Amino acid sequence: MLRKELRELWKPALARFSLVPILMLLRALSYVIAGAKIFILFDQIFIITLAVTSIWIAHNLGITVLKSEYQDRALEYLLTFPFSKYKTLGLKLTARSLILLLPLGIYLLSAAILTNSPRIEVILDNFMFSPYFFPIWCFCILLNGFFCGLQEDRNWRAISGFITFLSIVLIPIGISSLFRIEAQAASEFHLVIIIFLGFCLVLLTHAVAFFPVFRRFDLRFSKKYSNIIRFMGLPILVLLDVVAIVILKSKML
Amino acid sequence: MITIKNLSFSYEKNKIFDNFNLHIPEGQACLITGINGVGKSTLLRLMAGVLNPDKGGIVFNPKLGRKPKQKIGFISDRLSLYDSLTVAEGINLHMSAFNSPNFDDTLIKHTKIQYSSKIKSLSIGQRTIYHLSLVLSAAPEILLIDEIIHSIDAYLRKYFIEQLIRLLSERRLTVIMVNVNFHDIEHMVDRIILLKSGRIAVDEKIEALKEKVKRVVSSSRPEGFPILSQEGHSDRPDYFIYPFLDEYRSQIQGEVEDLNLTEIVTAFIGGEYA
Repeated sequence: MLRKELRELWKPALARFSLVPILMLLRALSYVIAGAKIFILFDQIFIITLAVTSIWIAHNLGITVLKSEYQDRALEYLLTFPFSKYKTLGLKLTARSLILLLPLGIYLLSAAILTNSPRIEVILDNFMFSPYFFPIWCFCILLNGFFCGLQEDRNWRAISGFITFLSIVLIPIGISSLFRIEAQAASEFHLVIIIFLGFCLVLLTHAVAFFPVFRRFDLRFSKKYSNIIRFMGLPILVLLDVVAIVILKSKML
Repeated sequence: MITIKNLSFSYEKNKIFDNFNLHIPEGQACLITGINGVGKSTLLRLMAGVLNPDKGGIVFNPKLGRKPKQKIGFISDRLSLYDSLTVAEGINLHMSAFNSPNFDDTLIKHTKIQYSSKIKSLSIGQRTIYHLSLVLSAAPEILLIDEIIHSIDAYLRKYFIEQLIRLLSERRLTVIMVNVNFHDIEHMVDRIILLKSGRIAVDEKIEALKEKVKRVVSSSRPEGFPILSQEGHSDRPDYFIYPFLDEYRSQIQGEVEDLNLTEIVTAFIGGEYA
């Protein structure tokens, strides 16, 4: 099962994730041609990689974990396998988690090349977006992507993924602004706590819908989950995002 | 082998079963039938673990171990398989999932299925044979078959049924079938269950049922007898009587005829549509 999943995933994943170094390379190349010293904000690399990662996850987790089963009409067949629903999901998520090592590797490699290049000056705006924290963000986005991906409708999956991606980034920044935690001065432990605190708020909205529905985990699963998230979860997240933006704005003024 | 206890199940607001109970002993070949939409396939899917009951449960014989699904072979009418895999990849996946060492190619070697072909390129009959081969290779103790036998050609159908009969006698395989075409399987079925409005309307051994359902060919309606349904619109319609008692023979004016399984089920289903 794991082998089958990896075989299906690695080629499209590599194609998508290779976009990150290609974009970086093109950008660097333009500076080299212009003969200018290259300034690269680490946040930019981070955001690009994270965005590509989150898009990939939203398309490959959740209900899309069962994408091949839907395309092949093999969900019924899968459900006859002598695995528990936890093992089935676990195997599929393991394959996707392994594939996630790909953007992490690309990101760390890009970071290493950039920081060691004499022509490139790396500027770090927010310590929370340093390579050090990238695996934590990846974990948050992985779990979040799973819940977003459970949306039955493709458009709602994208909307849900976008809103929760914003929430995952905005809420920790909002919290750090609210409590006047200066990113550069804060300890790593504080930042990890803040990232997780924001993430837990996002996760909570999904979990409230997920667990009652997950008990069923059958052919009628996704429709009920989609409805609960659409009409209950997402409005809460939008509200949290607005609150985070208001806090940020008030602190900036 | 399988005991269904107080099972309730619904699709959204459409209640299919409410406090449904059924026991199927080991080694029995059981046929589930009823009108379309009565819940025959749903019942098989619940037994196969594809659907989960709202209430109640399905208890399997403890001898099936902690993973009863490993010993259940289910072939749905949708012939659900991984279409994008090749035949060989599908075999590997199934064998590894069911922890089964060898693929039994007894059925498949009679077909023109290539191991390198994509599953999606197989015809319905080939898919059926392929699926049956996969399921039988995992040495199931319970076989759930949902209305697919008719999609196999006559030669392979005969071959498959022969193999099924052999498994029934050698391994005490429990077979539960949902079918509308009984001609081929009549001689191997022990018991028939007729579903009606989410409950069991008829649950009889085949031979006992054949004794209880008779056709009366008469010019006048046999009043005072339990008429199940009526067939034909000529001057002499056929009346199906259930339960038929021996003393009726002397009281009924007309010919009393025995029925085969297909005719019995048609009579019951006809009674529901009437």
